[in-house]
Amino acid sequence: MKAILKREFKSYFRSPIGFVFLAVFFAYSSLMFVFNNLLTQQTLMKPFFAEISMIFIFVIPILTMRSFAEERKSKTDQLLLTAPVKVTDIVLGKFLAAAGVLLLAVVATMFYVLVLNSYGEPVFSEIFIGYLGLFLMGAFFISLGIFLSSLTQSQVISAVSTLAIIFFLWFTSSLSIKFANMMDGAFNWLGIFLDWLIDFLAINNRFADFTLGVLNFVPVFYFVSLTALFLLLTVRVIEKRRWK
Amino acid sequence: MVEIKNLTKKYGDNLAVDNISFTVSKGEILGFLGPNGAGKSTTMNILTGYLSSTDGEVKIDGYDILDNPIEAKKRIGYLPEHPPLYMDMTVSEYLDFVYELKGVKEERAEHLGKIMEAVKITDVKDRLIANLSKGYKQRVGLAQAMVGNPEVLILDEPTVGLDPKQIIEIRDVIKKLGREHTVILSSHILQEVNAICERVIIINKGRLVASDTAENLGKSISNENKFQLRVSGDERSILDALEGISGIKYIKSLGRKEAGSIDFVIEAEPNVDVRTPIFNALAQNGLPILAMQAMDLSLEDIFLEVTQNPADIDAVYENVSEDEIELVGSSNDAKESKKLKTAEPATDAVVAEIAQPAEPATVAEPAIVAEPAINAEKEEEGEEE
Amino acid sequence: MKKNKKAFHYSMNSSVIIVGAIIITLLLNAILVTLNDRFSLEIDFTEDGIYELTDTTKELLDKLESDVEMIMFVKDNQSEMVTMLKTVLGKYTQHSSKLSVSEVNVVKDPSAVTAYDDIIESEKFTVGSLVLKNENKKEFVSSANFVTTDGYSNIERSVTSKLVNFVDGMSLSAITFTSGHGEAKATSTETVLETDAYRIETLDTLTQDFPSDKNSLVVINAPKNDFSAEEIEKLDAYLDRGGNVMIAFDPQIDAKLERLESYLAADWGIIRSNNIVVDQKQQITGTPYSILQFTDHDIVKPVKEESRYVVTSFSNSLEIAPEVPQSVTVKEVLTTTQDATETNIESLYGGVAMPDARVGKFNVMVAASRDNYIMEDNKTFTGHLVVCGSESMFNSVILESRFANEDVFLNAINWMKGSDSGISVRIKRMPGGSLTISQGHFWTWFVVLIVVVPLGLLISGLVIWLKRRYK
Repeated sequence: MKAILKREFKSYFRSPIGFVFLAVFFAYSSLMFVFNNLLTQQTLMKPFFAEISMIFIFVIPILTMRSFAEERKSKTDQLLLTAPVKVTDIVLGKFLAAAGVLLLAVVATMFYVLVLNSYGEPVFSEIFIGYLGLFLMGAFFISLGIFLSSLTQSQVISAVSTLAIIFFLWFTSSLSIKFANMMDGAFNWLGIFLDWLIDFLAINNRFADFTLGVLNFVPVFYFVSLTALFLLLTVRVIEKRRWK
Repeated sequence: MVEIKNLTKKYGDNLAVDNISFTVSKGEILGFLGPNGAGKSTTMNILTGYLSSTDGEVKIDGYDILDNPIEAKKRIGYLPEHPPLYMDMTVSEYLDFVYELKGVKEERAEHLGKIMEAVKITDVKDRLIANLSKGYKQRVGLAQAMVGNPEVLILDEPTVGLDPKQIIEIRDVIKKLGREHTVILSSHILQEVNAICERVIIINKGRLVASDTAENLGKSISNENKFQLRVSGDERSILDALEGISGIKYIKSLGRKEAGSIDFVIEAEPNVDVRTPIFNALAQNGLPILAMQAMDLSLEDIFLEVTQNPADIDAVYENVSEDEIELVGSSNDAKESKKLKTAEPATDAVVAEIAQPAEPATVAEPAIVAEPAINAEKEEEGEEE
Repeated sequence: MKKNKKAFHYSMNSSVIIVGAIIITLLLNAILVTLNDRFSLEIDFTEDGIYELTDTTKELLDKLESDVEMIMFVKDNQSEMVTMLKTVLGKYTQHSSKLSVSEVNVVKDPSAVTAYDDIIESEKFTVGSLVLKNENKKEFVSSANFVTTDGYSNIERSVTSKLVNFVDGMSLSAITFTSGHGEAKATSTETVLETDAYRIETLDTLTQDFPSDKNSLVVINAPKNDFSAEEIEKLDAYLDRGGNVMIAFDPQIDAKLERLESYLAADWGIIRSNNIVVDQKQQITGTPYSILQFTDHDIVKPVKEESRYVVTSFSNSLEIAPEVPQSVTVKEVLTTTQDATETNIESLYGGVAMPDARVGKFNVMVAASRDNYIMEDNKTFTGHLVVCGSESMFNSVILESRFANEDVFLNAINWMKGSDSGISVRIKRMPGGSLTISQGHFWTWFVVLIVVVPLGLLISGLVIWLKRRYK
């Protein structure tokens, strides 16, 4: 796993991909920081976090589109799958490499807290929780992107489907339909289930908990469990292809 | 070392590999022969654990590839048909990665240095793989398979798309490797297998059709008494002269090859030497024999016979360039190989015995249509570089 | 067909694992969400633990015996305050199973609101307001002062103080404001006391008796008219039985309250000067307020330790008589600096200079206690008296939480009552604060963060890529 992690992480910076990711992420988050904090002259980073997380829709596909799609297309997956390593390790290595680049991006934006500190008195612990949430959400999106990348040989399909699904999850948060109200009688249970599902998928609401400065284990578990689930699904997709 | 039992792979209803069994012992170089689409790559992918079999068993050094994949894979070095190279890495970065990926214990610099020497890529070790020529890429792929000194090397079409000089170099490397490793080598080029391998396995349409040493294989199939004759004179009188010689099964005229002479193929009953009676008969009639040659079946002949199917034969010959045939210098000369192309298919009796009944080949046909196109593409790639 | 089974097993296992993993993930998440309603699964990292209940609230919740429903009035799109309120209320329901929260959407379901018309104070009704109710009682909690203008949260304080009414045998301790002497209406003070779980009562000293409860407290806020001799007698008797009295004078009312003042002077050794002290050097620019000096008195000790400010505008000075009755102890609480000057209303508004105006240190707040042995009870009672030279100190200023006036006021109450008898939940700082950044710095950061750094990253990426390309 270490070998794959190392290679993948380095490969982000062998091509411009890693730099493009960092630059876009940093530029957008700086814009949000300047407008939400420096312009309004406040140390509260909640609005910053609320808006920064939207960038994931566009930058996560950059990070994950190549993952398995490119590997299959250039047939390098034959090297990985015939090497004495477990599929789990391959998937984990790829995931951790992308998560590492994300971590780099998130840590870079912590510089803003230092800027705040020289003009006001930000409360570090509160802000740190927001960063943790940002990373966990990004990591989940990465696992989703890797999963989608494992389904196709085309980077374009991989990127577009990742973008679309992250956008959909994003959009879900702003849905305020209540199916339970619309489906009466026999189908009420379905309505309730749909409402629950929409609430479950409303990823931005889960992330919002972190921006309050409270470390709640429910959304932490939400992101960690979904990340693990999609990594598991990726492993299964790759295993399944052998048995096809 | 490698043990394969009743290996079967189905893609939906298509049988890609049909109940293949064979074993390869330590230090042996096994040739894996078959036309394109015969199931060679599928079999190799199953051997290396890239694919799973639908049925059957693969054991590498006693370790089942499905039950104990890590241990089995540790003992395999695999060069797939398309070398698995990361174009964005340099050669040494790539080999470093493979070294770490396989968890090799040996001292890194020394081990990799040796391998690079062996396949002669030391001088390109700091170059980007994407910028290497086809031949170098193939060698890097081979080097990759050698990392960690696996006991078994599985090489899928290692010389495909290389120029003649490169082919000879790679073959030499493989021959050397064969001294210390068990090598399974696939090819659709007969000369290659003939040149490198001690033992040959032929598969067609997923089925194993022959398995023996190259020599024995020739003998067992050519359990017949056939030779070619060139006689000066007209066909009618020659046939008349030969009539009545006991022991001749049939005489077939091949037509005029040389001014004033006719070529014939004559098959005699087994264990009957009809050469002297023929000589006498023709001499009596004043028909001089210009040439008489026994027709020992070469690998080509065997191959053609066991994979008998007009479409297959065409495909095979389209892929064998004249260069290759001449360079290899097999027991048969080039002209004869060429002749075989125009020759009528070998006797039905032999084909029926060895190959499967001649049913329309649903599996092989699409592959044959596709293959020339792919090859053309590969050649284009080679030219670009 | 041994391996066929293997393939079959594999695909079965695979499907089982996938379906199982999805179900387990959904299930565990659902379970955790449910658990979170009952138990706290979070760690509060905010500076003041804004989402954590104080021990006071927790103790109170433990005493709750009947089920209480908290009805929250919300709109479709939630303000941040409502989100915060929900989180805090979640903490209440986590701690006590007796509590439940429900929501009423004021836009979609206005009729549901009318059901509570009887207790909703319409002028204080805003989104986020609450109604607490059980079988017998209803209480209204206005969201108007959940969040102070300078970023403090009053949510827990407001909710907890109302919840006290639902605890059997626990009534709010009363604070009695006297009436009948032209006392000023202390609206701000009452707001503070109510959010701090005190019941406000009024007492007509002429016709009604002083409370008999030892734990009671009487506030005489800026009287304009003097007390009668009979009232003074009642007051003295109340203090003899261990009563607690707080008197605040309004220096801007030029009324001599002969009987009250002479009672204070004779019985307690506290002399009200009919003057106005001004400590100009301590005045905060742009405000009428001057910063007061702390003594070592218990009332101001905690505030002094936090080095916060207590301020006042005009004030009477309060002298301590050289001779005080033996049973009485008088101490200064808040004073001016040595540089304060004395003036009076005539000189302030009429331009007539005050004769013999003094310069120096004046007392603005003093506190006294008096022991009294009562034979029939065979017990010594201690009466407490706090006198303040400025009613403004504990009026409008009290709500400005950047000053510690509120703390001093509540501490004074606690000092008199002898314990933390009230439900006092401290206010909590909300996340965030202000920045002071100049235009120049703003634009520097703008360019550096948005343009220079990303561009630098892109260029270095390009350079590395191009360099490698031709390797």
